[in-house]
Amino acid sequence: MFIRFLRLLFGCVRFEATEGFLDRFINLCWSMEIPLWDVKKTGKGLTATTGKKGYRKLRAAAKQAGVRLHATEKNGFPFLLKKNSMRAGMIAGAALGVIFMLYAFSAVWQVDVEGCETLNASAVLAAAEEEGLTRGVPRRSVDPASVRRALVSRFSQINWCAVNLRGAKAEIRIREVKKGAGVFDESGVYDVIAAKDGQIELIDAYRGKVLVRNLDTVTKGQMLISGVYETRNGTAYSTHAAGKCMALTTECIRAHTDPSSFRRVSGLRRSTSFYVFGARVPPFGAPNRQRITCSEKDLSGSDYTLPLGKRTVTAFDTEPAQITDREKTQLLAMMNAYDRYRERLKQAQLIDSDHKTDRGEIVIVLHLREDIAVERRVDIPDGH
Amino acid sequence: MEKKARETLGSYPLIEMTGNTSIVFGGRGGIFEFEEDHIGVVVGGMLMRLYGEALEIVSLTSVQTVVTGKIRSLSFDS
Repeated sequence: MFIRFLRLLFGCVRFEATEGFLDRFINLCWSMEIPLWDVKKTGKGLTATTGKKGYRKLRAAAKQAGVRLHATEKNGFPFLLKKNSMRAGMIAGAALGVIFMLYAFSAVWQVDVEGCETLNASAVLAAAEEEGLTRGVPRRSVDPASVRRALVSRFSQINWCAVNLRGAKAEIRIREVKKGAGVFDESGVYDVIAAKDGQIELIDAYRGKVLVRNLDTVTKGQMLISGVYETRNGTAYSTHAAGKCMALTTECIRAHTDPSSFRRVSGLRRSTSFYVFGARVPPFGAPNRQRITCSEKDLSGSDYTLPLGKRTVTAFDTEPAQITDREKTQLLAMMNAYDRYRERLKQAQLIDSDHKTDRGEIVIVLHLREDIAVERRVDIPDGH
Repeated sequence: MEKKARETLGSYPLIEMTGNTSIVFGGRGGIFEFEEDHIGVVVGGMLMRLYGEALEIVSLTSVQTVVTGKIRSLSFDS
C-alpha cells in the first residue's frame, strides 16, 4: 500500500513493448538499473510498468533491443500537474480557498451571551467589545480571562462569569446575583402594620399576635400583627413581629402630557450595507444626525450565525412640533402612563384595571393583590 | 541479507519460494526466455527455468527479481 502510494506520488508509466528482442530488452533494463514491475507477456509482446525517470531511460534500451515502445497509461502526481498546467486559475482558486478557510477559522464570527435575567445582553456585548471581543477579531488576540474580569467588575449584578472560545464562536455565560431574604434583626420590638388601604384576603403571622381577620377592611397604618401581647395568665411578651398580609388594593395612576414636549422627526436618512466577514460593503459610514439607530440581520442556521448579513442605519434629526389633535394627545399620555403601569405590575398581581380620560389627563385605575405588611419598630421605655 | 547468505553459502545465489506461487532470487542475472508459461533466468552462473501458468515478473531490479504465478516445476542447468 505504501509502495503503491509512493509510485503514485512520483509518477509511473504503463507501457507496451512489441517487436524486437524482448528478452534482450529486459536484460538491458536490468543492466541500466531501470526498475520494472508487473511485467506480463502478451500475445504481441509484453507490458510492464516503470517510474517516470525510468521511462525516459527506456528509449535507449528499446533502441538497442529493436523494441517498439508505446505508453498506455501515465499515472501519478507529476503527470496530473503537467496535465493541468494550463489551468492556473483553478489551481490559484484552490490555493485561495485553502487560505480563506484558514483565515475564516482563525477569527471569531459569533458572540453569544447566555444567562442574562435582569442584565441587558446588548450592554454585555458592548462591554465585551470594549475589551476586544467582537465579531471579526482574530482568535489569538482575545484574552478570555481579561474579558471575564472586565465584565465582573463593570456589572455588579454578575455573580459568576465565563468566556469560552469554541471554534469561531465565543460564548459568554453569566449567572446573576440572587437577592437573599435579608438579615432578620433580632434586637428590638416590632409590630406589623398595613402599608396602604385594602381588604385582607389572607394574613399569615410568623411571630406576634394577629389582630385582624381575613376579609377585614384595613386602613393605612392600622396594626395587623402586634409584637407586644399578654397571655391568658397575664404574662406580657414582646417580640419582633413578622408575617405576610395579602390584600386587595386599589391604585390610580395619573398621566398627562405637556404639549411643548412633542417633537417631529426631520432629515430622515436610511442606508443599507452588507456585512461580509467583518468588512462593510459598501464601506460608507452613518450620516451626521442627532439620533442614529442601527439594526443588523445575519444569515443564521439552527444554532449558528454566519458572518454575512445586512446592516441598516437610520439617522434623523428632531424639531419642536405642535400637536392639536386631542386623541393624539391622549394616546401619548396613555403611553406615558403605561410605563409606570408596567413598573407597578412588577411588584403586585393585577386583578382588574380601568382607564378614563379627564381634560387631557389619563387616569388608570388598578385593582391589585399585594403584600401590604410592613414592620414598624416599637420604642419601649426603660424599666418596662 | 543476500551478502550474508553468500558468505555462508559461498557463491550460490539466494532463491526463496513461497509455496508454488512466488519465487524471489537475489543478485544480478539475465532473462533468456520469457513466455507466459515459462521463464528462463540466468542466476549465479546457472540457467534456471520456471514452468507454470500466468507467470509474471512482479519486480525486476538490480537487487532482486520476483516472479509470481502458478509454478508447476523448476529446473536447473549449468
